Amino acid sequence: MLKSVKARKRRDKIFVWLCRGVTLMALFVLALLLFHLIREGAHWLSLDFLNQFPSRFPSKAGIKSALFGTLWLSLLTAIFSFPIGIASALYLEEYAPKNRLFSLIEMNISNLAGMPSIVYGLLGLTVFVRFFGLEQSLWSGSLTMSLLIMPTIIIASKEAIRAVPDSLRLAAFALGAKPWQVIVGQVLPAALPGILTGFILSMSRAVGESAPLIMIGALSYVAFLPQSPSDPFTVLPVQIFGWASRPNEEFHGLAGAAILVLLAVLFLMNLGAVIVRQRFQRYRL
Amino acid sequence: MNNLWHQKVTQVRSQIESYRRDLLNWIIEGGFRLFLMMALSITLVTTATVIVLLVRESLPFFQQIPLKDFLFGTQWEPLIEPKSFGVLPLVSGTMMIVAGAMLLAVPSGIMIATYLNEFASSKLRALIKPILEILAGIPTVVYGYFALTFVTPVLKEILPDIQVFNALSAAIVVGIMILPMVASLTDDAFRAVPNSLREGAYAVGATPFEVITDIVIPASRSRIGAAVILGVSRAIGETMAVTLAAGATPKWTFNPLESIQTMTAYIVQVSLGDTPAGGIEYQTCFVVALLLFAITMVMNFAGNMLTYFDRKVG
Amino acid sequence: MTMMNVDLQSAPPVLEARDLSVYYGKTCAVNSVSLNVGRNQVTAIIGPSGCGKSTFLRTLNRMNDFNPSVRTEGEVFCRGKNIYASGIDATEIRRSIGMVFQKPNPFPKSIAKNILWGLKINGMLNGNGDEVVERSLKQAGLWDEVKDRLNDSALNLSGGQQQRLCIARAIAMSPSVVLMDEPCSALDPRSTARIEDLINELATQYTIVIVTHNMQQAARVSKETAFFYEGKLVEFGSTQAIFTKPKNKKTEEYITGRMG
Repeated sequence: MLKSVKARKRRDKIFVWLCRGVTLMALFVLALLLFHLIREGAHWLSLDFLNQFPSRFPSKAGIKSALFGTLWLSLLTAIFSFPIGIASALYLEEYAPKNRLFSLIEMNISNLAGMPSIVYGLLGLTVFVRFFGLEQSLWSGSLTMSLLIMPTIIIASKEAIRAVPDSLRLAAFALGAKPWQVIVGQVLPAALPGILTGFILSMSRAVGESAPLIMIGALSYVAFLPQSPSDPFTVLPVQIFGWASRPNEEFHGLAGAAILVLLAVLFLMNLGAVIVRQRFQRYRL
Repeated sequence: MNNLWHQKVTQVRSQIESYRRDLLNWIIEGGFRLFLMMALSITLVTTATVIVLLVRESLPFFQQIPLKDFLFGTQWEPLIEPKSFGVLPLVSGTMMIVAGAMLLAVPSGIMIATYLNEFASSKLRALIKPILEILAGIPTVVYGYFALTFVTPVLKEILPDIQVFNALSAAIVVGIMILPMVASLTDDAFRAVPNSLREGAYAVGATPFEVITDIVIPASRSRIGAAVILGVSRAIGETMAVTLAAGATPKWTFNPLESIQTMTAYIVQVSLGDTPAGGIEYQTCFVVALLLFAITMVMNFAGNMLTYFDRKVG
Repeated sequence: MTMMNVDLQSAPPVLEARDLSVYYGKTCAVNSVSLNVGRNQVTAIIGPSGCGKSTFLRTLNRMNDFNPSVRTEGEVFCRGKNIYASGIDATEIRRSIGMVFQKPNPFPKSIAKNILWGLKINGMLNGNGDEVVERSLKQAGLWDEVKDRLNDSALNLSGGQQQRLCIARAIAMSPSVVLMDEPCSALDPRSTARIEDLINELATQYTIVIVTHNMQQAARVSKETAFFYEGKLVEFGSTQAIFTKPKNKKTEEYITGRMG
């Protein structure tokens, strides 16, 4: 007996529609999320909102200190993590022999990339805040964040470096260049757009992260702007957490508005990454 | 004579110059390598520090509380007298989040990967993939907010018994959060299945459904397994969404409509309060973090190994 | 399946392409080819690479359907039925036209399951299938090598064994035609020789169309040969005639090795 092709085709059609439906559903959830945020938060958005400090009174509250904190924190985090992340990736791709020790190191990096962010928070709390006595400052925050995004930066940079064709290296070596000259003069410039793309995406993770900063003691009520890296601070996600965990509906509205600002910042960063990728990236894996 | 002498001097000079340049190059090369190596060593130092730190702070705790009471106790009340330190309530809370999130993320992740890989045109795929990745890029605190202010109220309409803080709502948003990761790892797995295998199956008269369920999925099962493991690990470590939406009441329960507390949310709760360093309350933070770290590291290791070896075998 | 009562000498073609053209976007890969494939014999398709011979073969069981940029015009009749007629299902077509690919592509399943899978999904399996497995493997000349490990993974077989398994998988469906797309191109000379012997044996019971870039192979296994050049069928006739007295100048150039 032949199985009816018709019945099998019907099952197939149902399956295709199911897969399509689930995919559409995921897109729909994203739309729903954005729609909900706009409905909750949009009417709180104003220039004053960007320009006021947090307050007990919802109508007077703003995200000035959080915006500046986020800016400070990203800047410092970038300064720490960018060179070190690239350097690690360069060593792994250009110098490291293919042996057990280095596959262990690479495995360790992948595992670190998946370590819960809250564990980084405890690390920062014990090492930077307490042991080095950096207190609840931007130093502590940015160093913790640097450790958090380092594995992602290394992994992305490694891929960008690996995409640089060997012919380029051989050509440079054939001109009598030393390894460091090949790397600094040829490999790094060729891989830089790819590295930058990965770096911006890692940074956007740092901008959205809040758990480790709460651990090290970033506050959700900061009524001043940090003047130096040793000042206490708050950032947008922590401010959002502070407002969202209050029972008051109006503070939920403020949280929604702050989320819209945060998402706008992240969107701009991602746009930057896409532009770098499209305009400058020559080599891709 | 003078001319010869001059020639000699120039020769020696250029010799010295060349040695100097070699030496300089050698120093730069060495210094450069050293710098890169030191940068790389930071990752190792990080791991080592985390392990030492968690273990060191946990040891005094286990001198007071027997390991057995910690691992199998069903009461977690380290902050209020009479104190009890059984971690199972935090574990059950975490597991409920994980189970709910995976129930949502794994089947839909596989179906999305199937759709993108086997059914959607390449244009549609190029359009949908980045949009899905937006879901992965949204900060977790935003998901927490979404759970609290949207998902829970909607659930309340359907299930009037549900509490303001509940495991279900948090599990749903954690599932949404992990979905893109599962979908994209599964997508990679499907792409690694050679097309010749699909053609072979179609050539004996199979339909797409049969090809996917009987050939493509079994052929990529170890990578799908890795995606699931890494997803579970992410869900266990997820913090902000569960802190905001799932509550702060550790309970040995499997009712998703109740307020619970996860391991991560407990750590946040302690750090938000004014717990003095050194006391047993402070140590519980590290003990729970050690458990969290151990579980996630084992899972990450397993997941990465699965992908790694699968890639090697081809 | 009913046997058609026909005189074998002038057997009506099992497979008949009429005015078949295939386009990749705007480029024409196969240009109005008409070709008859005779019953229970091997028909070889030869030609330089890029001449459209593989594309043509893949139109015969509608494998090109999966590539959205491919457009097919014309008709292909399989035992009197146009497989490109509207309402005809490609899945049904492939059930009766088997295919063997360039590279062996066994499913990542056991040897026995590889053979039974097509029958199972199509509901053509009666009983537990041991008999089909044994018969197919015997016909494919693989039985003695694998009879003790039918439940082992097919991926543990050697390349040549895998390709014979793929042939066994195709003939297990009792197809009207077996299409072979350069089945030996990924194999070493010894495995190639085994497969060629096998093709010769199978020709007594099966209709086979084989695409090959190896002229000697065409000469060794086929009864009729078609020479393709730049998407066109240049010459078609008995293999002996093609190789000894080619009518067309292009064919002659190719046969004598003056063309790549």
